[in-house]
Amino acid sequence: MRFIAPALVLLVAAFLLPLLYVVYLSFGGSSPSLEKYAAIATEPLYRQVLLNSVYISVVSTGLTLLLGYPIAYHLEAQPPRRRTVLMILVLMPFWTSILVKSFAFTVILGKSGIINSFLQWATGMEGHLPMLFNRFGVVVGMTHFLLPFMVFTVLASLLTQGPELRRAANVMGATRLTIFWRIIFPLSLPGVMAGILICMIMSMAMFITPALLGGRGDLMISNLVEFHVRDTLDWEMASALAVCLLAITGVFCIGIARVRGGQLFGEEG
Amino acid sequence: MAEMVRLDGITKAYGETVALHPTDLSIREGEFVTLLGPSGSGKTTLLNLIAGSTAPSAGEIWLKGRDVTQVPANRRELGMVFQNYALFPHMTVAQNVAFPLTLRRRPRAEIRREVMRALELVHLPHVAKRKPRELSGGQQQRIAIARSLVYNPSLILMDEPLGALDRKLREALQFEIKKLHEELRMTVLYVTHDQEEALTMSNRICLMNEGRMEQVAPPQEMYFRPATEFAAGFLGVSNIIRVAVEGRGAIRVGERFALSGVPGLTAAPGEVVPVMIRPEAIRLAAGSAAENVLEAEVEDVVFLGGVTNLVVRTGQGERFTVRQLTRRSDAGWQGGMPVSLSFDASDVVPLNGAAPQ
Repeated sequence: MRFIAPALVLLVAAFLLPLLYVVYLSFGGSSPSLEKYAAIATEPLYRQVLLNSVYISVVSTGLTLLLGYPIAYHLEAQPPRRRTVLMILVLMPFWTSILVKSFAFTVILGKSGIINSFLQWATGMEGHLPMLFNRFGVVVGMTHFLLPFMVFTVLASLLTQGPELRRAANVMGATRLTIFWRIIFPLSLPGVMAGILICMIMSMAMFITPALLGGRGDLMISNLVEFHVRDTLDWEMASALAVCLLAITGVFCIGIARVRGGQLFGEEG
Repeated sequence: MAEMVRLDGITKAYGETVALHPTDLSIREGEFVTLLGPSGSGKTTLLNLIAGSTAPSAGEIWLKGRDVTQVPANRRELGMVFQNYALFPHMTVAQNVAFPLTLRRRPRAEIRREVMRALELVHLPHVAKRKPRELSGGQQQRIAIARSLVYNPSLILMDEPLGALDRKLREALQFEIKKLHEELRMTVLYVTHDQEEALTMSNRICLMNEGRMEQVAPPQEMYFRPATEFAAGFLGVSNIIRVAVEGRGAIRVGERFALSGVPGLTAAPGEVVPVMIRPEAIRLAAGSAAENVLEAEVEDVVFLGGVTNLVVRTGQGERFTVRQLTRRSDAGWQGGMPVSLSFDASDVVPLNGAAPQ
């Protein structure tokens, strides 16, 4: 108790109290009302932004899984030394500011960016592929940001499997493909679910990527919060949106925990 | 009986380090062969080579008359039991045992029947619907054994299967594995570093040391006629001494103790050779009056219940361990007591390849 006290004080002072204040504000502060929540529920703008958030998060997380799982699988098969080097490579983008990365994407995806210039030169096509300031740009940027989280979560669960089960299956007559689908993949599902959870939470609250790479139609909840805090100074609305985001993420967490605890994915500890 | 496994000069090297020197071995159908040796002796390497988990650097592996040196593990039709069970945690016991059968696309009814039969063989039909981690270590290993034999593989490899179990359970399972081997006429290649396990279970023991086969023999022969100092020292307690050869089959052990008619002694007169005498073959008498004995002094007495171990020291400074059945009247052995040792020529085992083949 004595040792966690400082951390506890910090958490309460810097995290719990502000959070409670946000909840308090969202319900109208000193003159309590449900006005802001009613607005979120009825006004089309808010519903659209909510849908945007969910859509972008789901697509990005799905893509991250499709790209990240093979990477994690490959890393797991490497000898420890080589794996460490490759893990550093995966981590590299992690060390770069997300702002810098997003600007880098404008150079790559832009109207006269690397890809469009190459396509124009190679195919002689007129105009360009719209890849920036739209949903495509947001999803690319977000997937790029989320990838390390997925890779490391899945890798951790693959590494706990050890080689014996695969060897056993192999000696019993299983091919590599069978071993993957019947042993490795089912056993890695807890890691996959954890990865999905982390990516969903982070992408739902993403702010910079949609702001820099998205268009007007790609606003997400966080962008709207920022808008209300800085531009309209409607802090109550901002608080209400933040509470909604928290609630959605919370429901999602509980849902995943349910699935993981249930029969569907076994009971590996 | 037909030959099940044949190894021809099989070798494994990792760069400069040789894990297994060229090795030949033949295992007959229905035989229970144990690879025995300390850790790092190459026994697991040899097992992995046969399983197909590692590729040999040289040599050939034949299974049931087929050269499988280049055949991948999943097409060698082997069964394997691992020390840590290697049961699939996300499948039930029944699914685990059914796994090798589903791979072979057997009809459903047959799979169900064979799984139940295998579970009955290991006396665990009632746990079919449970998950492996709900079972004890001994039960898990029995499930793993059921899984390894359910598809009638031509050879079952067991890699220290009882290493993770406590002593009592180990003995019970030794007995069960032995019984299964006899009932089903399975061919088993068993790896262990536990000499008792090797002695109780095997038809033949293949003793390994530093990547080489030291000796291959039935347990009795391995115990009574070890060929090398390593074999004599590894199995059981042994007294290894150097003796002078005096003539054909004749040796001198001490000033007042000489023996003739030592079996299998091929060394020429004048040579000094290592020989082994088991502690239970040595006779011990108080005092030093008798003819043709080795004079010694008791150094230590270790009472073990039914048997008593005595460490005695001869005038030449050689130490012998003597094992005697404990009798009430023997309670008088004490440190410092003068004693005389003797043993029969037939209990003297010449070492370093001097043993008869």
